[in-house]
Amino acid sequence: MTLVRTPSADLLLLVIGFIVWSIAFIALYAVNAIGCEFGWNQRFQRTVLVGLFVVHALFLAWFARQNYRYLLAADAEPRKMIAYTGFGLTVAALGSMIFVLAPSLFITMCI
Amino acid sequence: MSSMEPRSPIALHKALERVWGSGKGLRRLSAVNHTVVGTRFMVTALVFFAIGGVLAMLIRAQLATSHSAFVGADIYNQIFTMHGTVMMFLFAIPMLEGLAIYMLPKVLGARDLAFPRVTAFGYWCYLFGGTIILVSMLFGVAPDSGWFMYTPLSSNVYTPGINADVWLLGVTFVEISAIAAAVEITVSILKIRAPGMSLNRMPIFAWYMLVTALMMVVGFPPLILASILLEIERAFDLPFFDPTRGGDPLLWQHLFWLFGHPEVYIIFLPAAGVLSTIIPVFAQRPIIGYRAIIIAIVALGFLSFGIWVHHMFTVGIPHLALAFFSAASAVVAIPTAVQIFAWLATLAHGRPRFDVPMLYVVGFFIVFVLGGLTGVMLAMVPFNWQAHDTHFVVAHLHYVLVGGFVFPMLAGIYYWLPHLTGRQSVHRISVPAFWLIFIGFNLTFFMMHLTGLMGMPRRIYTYPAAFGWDWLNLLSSVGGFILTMGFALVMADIILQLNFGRQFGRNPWRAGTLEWAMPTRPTSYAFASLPEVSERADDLDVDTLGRDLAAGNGYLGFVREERMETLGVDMTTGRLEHVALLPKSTYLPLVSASLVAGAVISMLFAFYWVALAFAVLVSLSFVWWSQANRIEPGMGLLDVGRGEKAPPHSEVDRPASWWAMVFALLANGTLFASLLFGTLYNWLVAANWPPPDVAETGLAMLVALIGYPIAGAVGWWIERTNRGSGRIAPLLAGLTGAYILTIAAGSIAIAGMPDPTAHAHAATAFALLGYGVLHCAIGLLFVLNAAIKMWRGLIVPGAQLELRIGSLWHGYTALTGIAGILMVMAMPFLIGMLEATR
Repeated sequence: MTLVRTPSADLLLLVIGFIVWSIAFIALYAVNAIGCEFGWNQRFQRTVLVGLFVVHALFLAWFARQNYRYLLAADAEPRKMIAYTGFGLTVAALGSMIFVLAPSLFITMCI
Repeated sequence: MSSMEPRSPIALHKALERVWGSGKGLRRLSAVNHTVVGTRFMVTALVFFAIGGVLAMLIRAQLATSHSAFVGADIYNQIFTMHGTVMMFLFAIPMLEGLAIYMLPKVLGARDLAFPRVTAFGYWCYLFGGTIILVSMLFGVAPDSGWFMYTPLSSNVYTPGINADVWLLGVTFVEISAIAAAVEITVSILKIRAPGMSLNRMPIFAWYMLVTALMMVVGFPPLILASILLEIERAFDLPFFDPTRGGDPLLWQHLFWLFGHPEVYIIFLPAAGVLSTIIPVFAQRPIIGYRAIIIAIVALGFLSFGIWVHHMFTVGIPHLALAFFSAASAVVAIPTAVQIFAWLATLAHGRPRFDVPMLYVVGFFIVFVLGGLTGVMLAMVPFNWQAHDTHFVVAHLHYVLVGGFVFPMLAGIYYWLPHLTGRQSVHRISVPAFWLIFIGFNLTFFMMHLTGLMGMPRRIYTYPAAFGWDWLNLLSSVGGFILTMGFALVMADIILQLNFGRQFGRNPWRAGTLEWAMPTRPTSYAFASLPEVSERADDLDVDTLGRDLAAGNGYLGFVREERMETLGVDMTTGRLEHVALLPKSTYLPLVSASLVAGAVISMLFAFYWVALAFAVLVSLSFVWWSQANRIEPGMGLLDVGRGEKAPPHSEVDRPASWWAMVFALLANGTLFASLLFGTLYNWLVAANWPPPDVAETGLAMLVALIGYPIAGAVGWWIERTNRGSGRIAPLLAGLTGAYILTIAAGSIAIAGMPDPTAHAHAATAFALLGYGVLHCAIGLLFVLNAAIKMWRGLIVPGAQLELRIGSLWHGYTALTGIAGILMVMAMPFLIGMLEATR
């Protein structure tokens, strides 16, 4: 994949990881609320939630890999610094996604 | 008069001062200069801090003993509400804004921020809004529902007077100032820097302020929306939060804390930026972990939005959601810890020298870490349930906010006061002042952990002696008065320093940031010439650089045709891009803010037609802003010194003003997304659904649905044509027609809705459609502005900035207008779906 090349668009690398984290967080929170309100059975709700969690986590893992390649290819500042922080932020987003959303695997769904 | 020939530093100073100076006496009210306005912000914030402190003393006097008869319950409610409101909205946020406004151009090597008039407008909004809130106290009608104004307590039924209206309107007024400052700070950091200052060379303080400002852009709109909705409910009876008519009080809590929790980090991050600037200076080595800190603060910015529900653990939400928010609340400690370890490592690897700012840095470490630890305790749901709404929470929040903001700000005040005053402290009072503050603070608030764990709820005005809370409360009150004495000494110290401090040469702390490469006290133009930055801008040889810049050897070391000029750069590389032509001192910001104040006061006293008239005048005044800043088209490349040339900002593709519109629309988009969230939240969670009448799709709604994309497309086409003034006239006429059609269709659709006071469903449909119509009306103002400029011959090929900025607005209006209508059209289907499951 060719990552963003133009200088201003490079800045998106700093935020894409946590934007995906935010989308996953809101999606799981909303689906949990809707599932509880609509009375979905536990198994179905958990399947949807875990599916959403895994899809987002896989995307972030893939994006981190692309970021890492971009980091290796960056040979001059400020691109080097942006690539480094972008990679760090994507990994941080992936780590916090796993920590924060992992309860969807095993915790009781509703009140 | 052009003055570009070489001249002596004194002559250059006089020429620049003549152009950049803000005038004296009443003319000072027209000042837009960042040094003047930034100082005003900080001084006003400190006055509000003193008022908030007096209110805190009244609280402690009341709670010192059981069965106190000092003040009654009603007055006590006003006192604690005003204490929280003043400290959060009128001290902390404006103080950080003032610091950013004063400091950013200086550390970025610029002469001013991108939009000086917006800076001044923000200040007047803050001053007028804060004054409205304070004056209410004198008349005994101050807000009294707590600083987070929970409904239904703040609704008409339980607060029938104007107390809650004062809060809702006054705070929203102040928030306008905050959003204006946030957009200005974001764009200025990204675009208005010294040439060569690429992102990797930017001082760490600017990174902190960039993240903070972006958080404000996204974080404040949910509260602004909530305040508008609650005010509409109180004024016109639309039941957004009324559970008897399909609204939900918990919607207020969600919207408030969507703002409220990021707010804690919005307050903390600038203070952390101060620490990251000061600690390397006193450790005498560059900061360790520059990149790790940037990663940590960007992560913190996002994570802080994911924990708003930890203020609502006891309201009854699904177990799994509790786990998400609990985990997020715990994980946010990690990026905070990264910064703390970076600071400790910098000190450990440096050769620390001790001075007054460092006393407060040490105070920060102790107090803030304790607050952070109790924060992790409160993030755990079972403990949170036990401690909720007790004095333990009061203790925690004061350890975090005083530790994380007040201590670093005091360090910053002592560090930068010489810059502001041109004098250094003689240190005789500052040391005992620190110890009084440190001991007084811990005595006051540590006790609250204990009273909280013993079960003392917050916000009670009295308590029985039998509970055994007396001695702890008495100690807490004694501590409060010691703390106040400490702050009084700091105030005395500042006044003494201003009058009797020791004068110094350049750079008293041997710092490496650009603000010390200018004269102190700072001149109105900041730098006589602008630097080229070739290394990290917090480790520069500012002594040599300062002399060079004063001699006019940098960029723009001259005055051209009495214009105020600074440089704009490419966001990432810092490559020279354009010359930003800034507006001179003007009374317009004061006029516009006064008109907004007129609208707010009219609404407060329910003169809604008068308020509407003021709103129209405010809008027209902004058109006047644009017209008053006359920039001739076709300037071409301008000499910037050092053998380089650049075009004026009006002739480049995406200057600061284009980006300002992007970030303003981001804030607006967050508000709209919050409105969509509110609509869906009430549908899913609130009681008393389905509504008696459902809003159906009519012909008018369909016409509006077609009108929005037409307006957006014409707006986009105008920008794309790049024609001369005369030939865009038909397109502007077409856009006007599209907007008028959409406004008419939208208004008819609103009129055909079920009664919006009957149920929250109709109320939110009214809000969604009204949002679109309002944006069309504002779109017409953009058309009016472009038409006047066209008539004046200021829009020509290659200089069509107004059209490009307007195009962004027209596109946004089209997208949100369509989304709003689709949401309203989807509601009958969603209501039917929900009905089928219940």
